Amino acid sequence: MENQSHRFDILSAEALRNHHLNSSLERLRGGLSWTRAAALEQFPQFDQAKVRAVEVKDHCLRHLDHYLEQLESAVTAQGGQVHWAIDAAAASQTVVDLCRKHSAHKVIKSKSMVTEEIALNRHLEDAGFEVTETDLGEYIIQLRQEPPSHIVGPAIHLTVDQVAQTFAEHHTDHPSARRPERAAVSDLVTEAREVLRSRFLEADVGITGANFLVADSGTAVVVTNEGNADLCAVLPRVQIVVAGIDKVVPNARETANLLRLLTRSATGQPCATYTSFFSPGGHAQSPPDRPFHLVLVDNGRSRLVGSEQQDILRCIRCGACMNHCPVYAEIGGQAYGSVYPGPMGAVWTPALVGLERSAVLPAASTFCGRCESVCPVAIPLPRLMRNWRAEAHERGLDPPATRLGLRLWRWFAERPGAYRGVTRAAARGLAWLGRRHGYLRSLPIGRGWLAWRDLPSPEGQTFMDLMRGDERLQ
Amino acid sequence: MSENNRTQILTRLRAQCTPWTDAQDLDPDGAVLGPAFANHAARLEAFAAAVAQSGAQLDRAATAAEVRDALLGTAAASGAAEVVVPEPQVAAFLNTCVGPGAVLAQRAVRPDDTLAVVWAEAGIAETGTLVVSDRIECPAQSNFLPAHWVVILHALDLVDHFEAYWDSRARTGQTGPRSLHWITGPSRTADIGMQMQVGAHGPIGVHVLLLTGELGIHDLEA
Repeated sequence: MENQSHRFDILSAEALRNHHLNSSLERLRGGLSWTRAAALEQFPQFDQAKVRAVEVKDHCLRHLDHYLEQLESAVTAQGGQVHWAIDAAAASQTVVDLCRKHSAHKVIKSKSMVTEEIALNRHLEDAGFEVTETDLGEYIIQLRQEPPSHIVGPAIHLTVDQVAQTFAEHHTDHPSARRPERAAVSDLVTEAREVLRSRFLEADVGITGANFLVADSGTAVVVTNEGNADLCAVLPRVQIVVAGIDKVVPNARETANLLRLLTRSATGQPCATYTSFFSPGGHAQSPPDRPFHLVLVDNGRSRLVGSEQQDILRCIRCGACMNHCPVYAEIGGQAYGSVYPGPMGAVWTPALVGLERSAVLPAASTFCGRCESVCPVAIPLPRLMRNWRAEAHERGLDPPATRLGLRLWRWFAERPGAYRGVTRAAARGLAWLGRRHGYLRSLPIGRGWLAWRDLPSPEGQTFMDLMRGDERLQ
Repeated sequence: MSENNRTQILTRLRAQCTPWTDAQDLDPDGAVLGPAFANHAARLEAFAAAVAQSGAQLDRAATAAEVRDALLGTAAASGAAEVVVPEPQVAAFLNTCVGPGAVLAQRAVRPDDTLAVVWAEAGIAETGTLVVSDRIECPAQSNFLPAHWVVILHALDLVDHFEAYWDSRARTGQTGPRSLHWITGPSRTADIGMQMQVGAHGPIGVHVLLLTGELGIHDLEA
């Protein structure tokens, strides 16, 4: 998808006014955070597992060059091919070229954030291929030509009726020819299963992402609950795995701990329904009869290695940060205008598309810290967002009003006498303005805040004055 | 293009990464393992509980008659006209249990099959997970295409947790198949209205046939 982060203000305002979205997000607010909490109650080793996950991921990042070469050797030794892509354009072109090389017409895909990141569908369709997303959520938003709103549940923003309407518009040949008012969720799932089953069987190429890449065995690990990635990988005559270079882990044994954290953090499950390990080798029906291609995507990741933002490369895409984010909970994922929404997206997106096109995202946070506290790989998301904010300020990318406000605050902060004088006057003035009702409903500044809530009338004294008064009494 | 990209990526990384040496900075013994069970009986009960939690069904069978009853009962409940068994060895084993005139069909699984039977090379007690791999006579799709999937597992093939499974593979020197699948319960999705539904793309029903006696299916692994 094309990055729209610079339109965050407009998109988020639209999201707040969208009643369908609000009702969908209401379910999210209670649902996934509750299931995660329940799962962790049954998993007392969570903190220990988290420490190990950080050790493993940091170790891999420290030796990423070594592990990527080891991975490449393992894949090629089994007859597979590894393709390196420095950026999104190179990655998409590589996949397009592979599809052409194998004389493909129909391509099926399982949900993969990195293929969203490189806009693979658009490139494949422009090149004349028929592409079908097979994860149910991705399939729905593909029909609606929308970007995903969540990295785990791409269609989480839609109501059942909206999905029913979409199917009714697109599945005109389906025997049920169902009308929206009659649709039950189970019927809709069955309908999608029937429609997509034929796509699986007709496809020439199957494309999946990878949750992890195992360096010593040349294996791509893919986790789903639907089983669509497995059908994508095993039915078509060509298998392509597209994955970021940050996905590498040393060996299969270490994936166990990461998987325990991933599924509990994402959906509250002790284990996903399907965890599959795909390698190029195997029995006689494997290469050259069934080619296996691994496309390794950099697209800004190598620049993060060794930088103060490196910790974001530990991300295992569980979505817990967004499930617990009070900003995400109000506006949903599409308002971010980026493939990666929520707190992790606010850190990832500037690295991928440039801070000049996304400086607003790290600013769209209350810094409450819930994202960091729920992250299974302990990514210090508020600190990383703060780093981007600082860089945006240094490069003059933040809004003029913010810059003016910060300059004013700095001037006063460096002059304690003036600061106390102004805050004292403001406290008294605001107390006077609110004397009648005990609250304030409008002010010359902070209109956005006061449009939705009242401000309790201040006491009339500053915090410092109150503290000094207490000291005198004592 | 790829070679040039490879050089650029690795050059960037080498400028930042720590040089690789034999003295590793990750303790291989520091892994956090899954739960360990006191004995086989405890492992078996944990597996059965986890299978139930995953939404799958489990039948224990110690005799050929119990295998027959469980299999035919599952076939009847799922409305299957025939029981498809891709692998000849498994079909032979089931034939000895079920007897002549049964509904067994030894052939590759087709997309519209209602019920297929495969054997699992391992079960993981921690999560009620079944481990199957891509095999010549039982390709991976056999585990995903049928509406109902019956998996035969010998209780002796149960391990405590995922790490124990990888350790057992390493001990036997098994090389990786084209694909290896950990399957825990029926296919599911909550992508519509956040309401959980089974049968998104893979099997709607998962039925575990746990062999607890001296039955010969365990020999198939050789």
